[in-house]
Amino acid sequence: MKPVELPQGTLEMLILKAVSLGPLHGYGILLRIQQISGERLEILQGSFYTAIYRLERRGWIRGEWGESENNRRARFYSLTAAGTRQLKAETAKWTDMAAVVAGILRKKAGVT
Amino acid sequence: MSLLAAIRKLWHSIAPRTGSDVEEEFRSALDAYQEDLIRQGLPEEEARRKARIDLGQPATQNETYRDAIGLRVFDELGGDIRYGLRALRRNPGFTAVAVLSLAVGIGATTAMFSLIYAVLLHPFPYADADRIMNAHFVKTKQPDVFQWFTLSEAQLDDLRLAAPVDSVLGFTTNGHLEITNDGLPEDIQGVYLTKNAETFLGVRPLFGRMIEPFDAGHPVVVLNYRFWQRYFGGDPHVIGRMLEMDHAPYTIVGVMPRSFAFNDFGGVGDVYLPASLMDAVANGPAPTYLPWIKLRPHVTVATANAALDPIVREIMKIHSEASLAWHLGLQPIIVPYQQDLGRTLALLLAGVVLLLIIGCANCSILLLARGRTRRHELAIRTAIGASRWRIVRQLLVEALVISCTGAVLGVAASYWLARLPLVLSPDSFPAESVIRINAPILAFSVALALLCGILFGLAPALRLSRNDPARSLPGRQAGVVAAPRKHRWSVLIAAQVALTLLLMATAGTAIRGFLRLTQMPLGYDPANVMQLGIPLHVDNPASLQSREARASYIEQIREKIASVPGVLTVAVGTDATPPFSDPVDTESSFNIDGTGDGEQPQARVMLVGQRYFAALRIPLLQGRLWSTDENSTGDFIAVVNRTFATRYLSSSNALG
Repeated sequence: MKPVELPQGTLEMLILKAVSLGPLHGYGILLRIQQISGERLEILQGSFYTAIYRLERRGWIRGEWGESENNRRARFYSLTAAGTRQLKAETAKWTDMAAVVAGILRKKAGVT
Repeated sequence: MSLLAAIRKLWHSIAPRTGSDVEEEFRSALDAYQEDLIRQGLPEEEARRKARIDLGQPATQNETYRDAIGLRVFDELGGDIRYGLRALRRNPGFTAVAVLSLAVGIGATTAMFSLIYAVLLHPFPYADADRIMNAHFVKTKQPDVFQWFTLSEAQLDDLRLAAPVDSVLGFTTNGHLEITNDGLPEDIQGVYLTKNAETFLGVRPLFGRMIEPFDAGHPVVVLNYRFWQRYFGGDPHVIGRMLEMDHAPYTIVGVMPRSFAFNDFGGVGDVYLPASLMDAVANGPAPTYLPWIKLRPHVTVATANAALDPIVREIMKIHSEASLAWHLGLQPIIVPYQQDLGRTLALLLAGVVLLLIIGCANCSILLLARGRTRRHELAIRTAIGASRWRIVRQLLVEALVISCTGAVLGVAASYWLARLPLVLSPDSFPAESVIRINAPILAFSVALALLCGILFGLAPALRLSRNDPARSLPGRQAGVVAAPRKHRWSVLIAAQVALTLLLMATAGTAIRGFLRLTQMPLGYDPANVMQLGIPLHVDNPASLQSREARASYIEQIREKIASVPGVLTVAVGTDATPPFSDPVDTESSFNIDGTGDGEQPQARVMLVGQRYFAALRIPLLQGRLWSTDENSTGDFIAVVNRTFATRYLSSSNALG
């Protein structure tokens, strides 16, 4: 299957979602998003950390140092309360928009 | 929390993570990715390379972080500032001229502002000083004629009950007291304050306490700062010691701070005493006090005047017809100074602002001139992709670096400059205004520096940034580009010359006015005349009850002084040479026989010795002076001045 390119701004939403399933370190978030998408998402790795920093700055995720599965020191991110609210709002907004756009695009000629 | 911890906390909220923290996290991700790649079969070297291509370099990660959280602007500004400083250090001549021309302007303006702040905006240390009012009666037809009035303790109490009044302080104009400790007797000024002085004035003493209600009747004394410095050498253990005045012991209970110089129009007191001691001092009618009225918040002076006028009349039992020509005029205690100094200070401020504008124009010209040599550098920056905003910003930051350096120098200079007027003319300012550089003034000068930087930096920055690399780059012959801009330069230079001329003309006029003032005829000849105030402290007042005894006592003193070698003439009088030293009017009512109708005329009566006119070389227009005999018997004889004669005695001959 062809890889999908992400529209701008959606990466942050996906990170919030990935973290909402349980604390993860940065590289783990990357892997999880790719894994859930069935390896179809090609994330620009350069912009990935920018997104993480921005989310942390806004207080939607919180980073803490811990041990990774292979005993490496890593920074684990978890969702904050504000992040949970944000994820909910973003999800609702996204589904709405997707439904509207899809509805318009499905419209067939002649039918009103 | 210490200041350092506070700064760290603030910094933490701006940039929560350190560079090494960010880098460590990034490295761990890089390693994990690299291991994954190796597991997928890539050789180690290849995996390392690919990981770095995909994720980026650890060394630049902190920059990515700061960019992401919005700190990039600060980093760039920091860079601009460092670059600006370096550029300034490379051109010491340019820097020195620009910084100095601004430092003079900013320094002078800051000094003026701190003077105005201290003198007009915030001169008094008292609580709610803006609500404290001088009270006097103003002649309705001539608002500049006014008369103070005094109230007795009971009357003050009545006044305190009035609705617009928050509280009332009663005080005496200074009474002379004599220190009779050991050594030379010294004449000092004592001010008696009513018992609410502490709460009314609300000034925290330097040591000890202010006069309190429970001091009533106890011989206690609070010292003025200057007196404490002069007489006790600033001894901090003075509280509880005894001060003997007029042969009575007083306990020192407090020392007031330097800024407390109560009070300006009655003369600053050396010592403050509870009013209840007045009863012991004054023999005769109940002592009276000048009132300071503190209005309730949000009561305007006009409403208070209207409300208090009938009350004061009632309290003072003034019902005569003549009194209707007068009305109560409350006056914020700052007003006399504003009247005296406001215009002078405004003029000075205008002068220094002109100086500042000239300095700014100077800097603008310098920046533009330097800009011609920098065109090449800026063209290269534009060519390699710097936006116009970026270049304007950099040039502005350089201008701000100049103006801030100027401001630092200027503020340092203003520290001394601001004292200059006080040193030159100590009497025209409230004794209590202490000139110091404080937070509002620093804020003022910082704002001034920023304003100046933008003012003189913006025009050159906009001009220089509008430059086309294709035209300026090929060679450095800037002549072609510069030619059409010449007239803008001349406008700036012309403005600068015009302002300088204006400033010099103003200064010239001011100096001429001053010279004229020094040559004004005073009506007497002050050359080689010295005045000496001698307060008469009499141990036994009864011995000088009669006029003759008083006259001979004064004559004794006069002769003693006349016998000092070098003294040519000695004359005595109840006041010093005109203009009169005592600001509280000593006007007395009088009647000339045969007239005496309508309102009561008033004149300043001055008791003088017979040699007074000779010593000051005041010419006698008509009649004669009195003789020694008449002097010693203390007869009532008067000499009037020409103004008096023409005003009141125009029809008849004044003699007799």
